[in-house]
Amino acid sequence: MKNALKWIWQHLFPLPEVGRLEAFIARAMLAYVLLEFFPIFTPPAVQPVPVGLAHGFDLTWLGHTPTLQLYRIIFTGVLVVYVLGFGLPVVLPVLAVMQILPFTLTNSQGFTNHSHHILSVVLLAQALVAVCFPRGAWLQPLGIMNSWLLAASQAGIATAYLISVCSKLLASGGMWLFHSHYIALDLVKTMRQNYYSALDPRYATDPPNVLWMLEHPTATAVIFDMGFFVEALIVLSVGTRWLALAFGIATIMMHRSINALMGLEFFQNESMLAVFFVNVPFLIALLWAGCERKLLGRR
Amino acid sequence: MFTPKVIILGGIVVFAALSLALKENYPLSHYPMYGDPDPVSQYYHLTDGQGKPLPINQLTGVRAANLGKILRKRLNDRAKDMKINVKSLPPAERDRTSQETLDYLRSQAKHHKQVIPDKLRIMFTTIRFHEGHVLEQPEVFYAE
Repeated sequence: MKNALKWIWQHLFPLPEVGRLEAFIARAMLAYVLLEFFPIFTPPAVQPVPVGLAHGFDLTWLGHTPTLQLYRIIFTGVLVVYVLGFGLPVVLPVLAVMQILPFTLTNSQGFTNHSHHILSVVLLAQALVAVCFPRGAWLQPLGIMNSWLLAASQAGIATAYLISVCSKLLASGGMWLFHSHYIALDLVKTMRQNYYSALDPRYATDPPNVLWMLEHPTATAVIFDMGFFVEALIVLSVGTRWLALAFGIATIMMHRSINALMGLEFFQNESMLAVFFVNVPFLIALLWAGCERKLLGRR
Repeated sequence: MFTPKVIILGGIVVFAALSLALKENYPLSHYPMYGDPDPVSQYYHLTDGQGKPLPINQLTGVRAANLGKILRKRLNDRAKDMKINVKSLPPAERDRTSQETLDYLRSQAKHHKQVIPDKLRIMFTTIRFHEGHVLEQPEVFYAE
């Protein structure tokens, strides 16, 4: 046991080597996702139940369409500078605040939408790294800084899943794994809520797979408990490549299966997992390097 | 001492502890969804004065799932202000909170340039699974 723990500690959180091409692709992908999920609809110009920065600042000025349009243009400009890798010690904190403000307003309406948290968490983690590495990082991020940007993004994402695990254990008095089959009933609830949101007849029935789950509680508990362990253990893959890829795919599959069962969408989480855990930028850079070697070999 | 391993581990612990302590304070969250699975589940929906369901999302931009979140948050806050448990909230306070929630929905309908009926009801439904069947028990939570 002691040796196993020692081995885990020795191999825990290695700092991955990140090339300039991989870092550029990762920045471009993150920027695309941030722009894609920037609010399309103007948030309400009220903050009846303020959260986060809305406790200290009035953010209702973002609830006006012309203001938000201008804000989006400025945000896009900052994203371009980010993708190019200029001035990250300033650009990343600015980007993080700019991304957080409109979603703070939408989450100050008395209910929480958890879709965008993961994007803000990644930006905050990257901003923290950039602020800590100001020297020499103004024109192009340094190699070590790129490594930290990846590791911090992974750590932020993995911690979000770990927090969810802690909440499950705290709220259920440690009984979550034994009560998880009751989630099947929550799936019925979600179907009803989806139906009553728009009176959409697609959600008017109980799907056969949900009824199957209600009739087979043990098998259902095993399925949900697997998701619990993926969420709890993904943190062990921070800083790694191939283990992160395995956990990235497993977590995306978990989100996909929830989507198939409940109609809930996790595009933002899945895209962050694809970029920072499945390591799509790394795989592209690897492929590019392989092609380059082949071409040079022919010459 | 401050190796990358220690810094990352420290960051994870601090971020997790802060999120669990501060709960829903964007961008922090304690992600409470499906945290306490129960043999009984509940949901809320909106109807007109006669009990005919209304497509709340199309009318107000607020999804049916969020109607419950708004109401629960406001009721919990009201109970916290009164230093009592939410279950002991007097009916008059519960009705006042429900009316404030409907007023908020009306303001959102106006924001979305939609018209909603003069009289509204908030319905509360309990779901349970019993002997191979999903049983639902709807009741009027608040009616204008």
